[in-house]
Amino acid sequence: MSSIYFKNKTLPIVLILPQLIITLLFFIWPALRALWQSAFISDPFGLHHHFVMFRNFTELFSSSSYLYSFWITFVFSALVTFFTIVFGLLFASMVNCITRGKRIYMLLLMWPYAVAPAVAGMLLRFIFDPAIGIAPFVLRHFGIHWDFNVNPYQALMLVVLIAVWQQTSYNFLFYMAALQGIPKSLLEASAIDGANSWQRFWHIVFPLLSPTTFFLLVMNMLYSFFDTFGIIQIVTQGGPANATQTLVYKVYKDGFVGLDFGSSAAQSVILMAVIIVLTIIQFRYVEKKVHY
Amino acid sequence: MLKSLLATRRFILACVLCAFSQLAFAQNASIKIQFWNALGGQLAVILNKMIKQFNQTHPQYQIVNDFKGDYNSLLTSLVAAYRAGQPPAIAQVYEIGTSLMLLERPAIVPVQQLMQANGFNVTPKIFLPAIGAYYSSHGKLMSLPFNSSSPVLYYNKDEFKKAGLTDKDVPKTWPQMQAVGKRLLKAGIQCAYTTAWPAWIQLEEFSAWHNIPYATQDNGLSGFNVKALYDNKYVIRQVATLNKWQHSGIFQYGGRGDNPQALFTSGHCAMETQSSGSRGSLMSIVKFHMGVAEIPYWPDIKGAPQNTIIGGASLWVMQSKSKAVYKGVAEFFNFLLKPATQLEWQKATGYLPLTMAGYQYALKRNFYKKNPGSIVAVNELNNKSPTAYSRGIRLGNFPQIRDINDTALEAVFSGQSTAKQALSKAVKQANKYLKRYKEMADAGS
Repeated sequence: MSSIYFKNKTLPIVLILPQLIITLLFFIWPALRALWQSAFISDPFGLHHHFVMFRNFTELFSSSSYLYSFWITFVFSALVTFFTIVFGLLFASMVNCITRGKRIYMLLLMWPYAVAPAVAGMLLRFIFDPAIGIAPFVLRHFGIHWDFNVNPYQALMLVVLIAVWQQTSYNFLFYMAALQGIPKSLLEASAIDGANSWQRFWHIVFPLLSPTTFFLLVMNMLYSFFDTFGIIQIVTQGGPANATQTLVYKVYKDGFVGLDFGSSAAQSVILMAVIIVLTIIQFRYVEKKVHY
Repeated sequence: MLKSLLATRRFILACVLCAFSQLAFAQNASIKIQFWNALGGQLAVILNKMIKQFNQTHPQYQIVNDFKGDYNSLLTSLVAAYRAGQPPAIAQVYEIGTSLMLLERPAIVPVQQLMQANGFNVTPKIFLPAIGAYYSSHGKLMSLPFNSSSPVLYYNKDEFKKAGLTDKDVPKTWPQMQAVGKRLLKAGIQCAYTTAWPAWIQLEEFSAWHNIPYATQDNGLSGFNVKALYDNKYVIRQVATLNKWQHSGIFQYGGRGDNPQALFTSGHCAMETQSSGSRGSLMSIVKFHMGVAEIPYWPDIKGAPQNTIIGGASLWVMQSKSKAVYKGVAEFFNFLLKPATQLEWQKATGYLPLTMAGYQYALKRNFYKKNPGSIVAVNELNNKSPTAYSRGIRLGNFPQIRDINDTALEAVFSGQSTAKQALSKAVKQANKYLKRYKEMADAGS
């Protein structure tokens, strides 16, 4: 393949300019502002500035509630990523096997993804409301006292449940597409060689799906880091006792509720660093194990 | 062809511009005054009525009711608008934002100064003592108290009856709460008591009601160099008692803010401590007979009950508006302070009267006699003349500190730590925020 290049140097620049401007204006510039802001303790109206260098950062790392947020975020995103991949793959493989009513199943399984996070949160909050919900009523018959306003584990479970319910559709969709791309001949050949259905799945299908799994790993992690804000805001507001306060939710709480822009900026800088590091690790090490 | 098209377009554009300027001209006849507020639902209906009344009697002004969501979002929007150079004339800020607004002195116009410049004599003295003092600095009124409330105890009369209890049995003290709670549980009621706004009612109001210091510097009213003091034995006992009751079913924790409301309105819990400002909406929601009583106290704490302090919000006037706008704002504030307007406001909402004149006016018209629940919060507020620790609590970074306290209470109610551990940790965290705030206040621009 011969490489194509522009003789004129201005044209390519003009062509990428819109994207460049948007990136600079909406990504690079705010990131730099956050970096700058993180070195100050300042008031929201911008009338008082107190330069503190790295103290916003050191205060965060000496604060137990911030470290707890780190831990919660880790647990939360690990759970969400794991369960969405497992359920996505499970449903996709099952739907791929059936012959009748495939479309109906696909439609139903993809449906939750179309529900806005706020609506999903509201729905399940009502279902699981300790006073008026139906789920606690049913759980009582099994001897389970359900009250996510008080019980930190139940609160985390509920938020994970809603996130998984929503994000499984996304995983299902990608696995479905990937499964259809697996050559039938390979499966037939292995069947003739005597591999049972589990062996066929584990030794042929699963490795061939690894690019999709890798992609979903990254996407699910990003989802659980950033896109679950709406669910948390609606269902638990980070409570009880910070049991569902992820890093992103804490940035919001300190920045927009507490109007402590210095600390909030420092937190978003840390978050940025975490995401950069995680992405590098994933592309460096995990990707090596992926067969394309 | 193209030329004529362009000409037509230009003509249309000219017409549109012309129409717009006409429109602007027509509206110039009355001066628009943006009023940012956080009053939704039923409160918005009443507010609209009041604004309409003002606009009709003062046709040269037009107050624009601009609902900005809850108090948090309003303050965030205000910050953004101020930074963009487009603040509204009037902004409603919740009481825990008062310290911040005082720090942002260059951004605001003190209400007393504004009123006096426009010929209205408004000083902190015309208000109920606890209200006037809270929104003043160095004896000058800084913002206009608007919706002020105090917590009261709401109870379900039907469920009391079911347990063989009458209005006389409504618990006046916390020990009585336990006895009454047990009887209610025996009668098959699932939960005796819950509380809205846990940190506000169980820590802040609790401290004032028992005349216990909440923070140094007169609870923060006298300066910025403040330390939190609410990890004392009385507050610890209160939280520990609630936790004990939670296990026996007398108390149920229902979340933060207004979230516990559903526990009471659905009839699940027989009693709820909640802001007096919710009386209007509660009356329209609940299907049972509802009573209102004073919040309980501990009889063994000396001097209790002292007096409650106010929650709610006040109206701040922002800088950089024209003289005409400020005149309109002053007229509007004067209208809000009229005893008749205040009576309307009290009737519909359950908020407190603001001025002494407003209180007398309502008294004379037998409002409190006709509406027995409405006097409770006023009585609590005026129970005794306020001390240094019952005039109010004004802290820097107050929204964070309240969040820390709610978190501490949840840590207790979820069994993660004892009341003592949780509160001393909360005080330590709060002190960090208070120190940060002091540094910022000292820094200047």
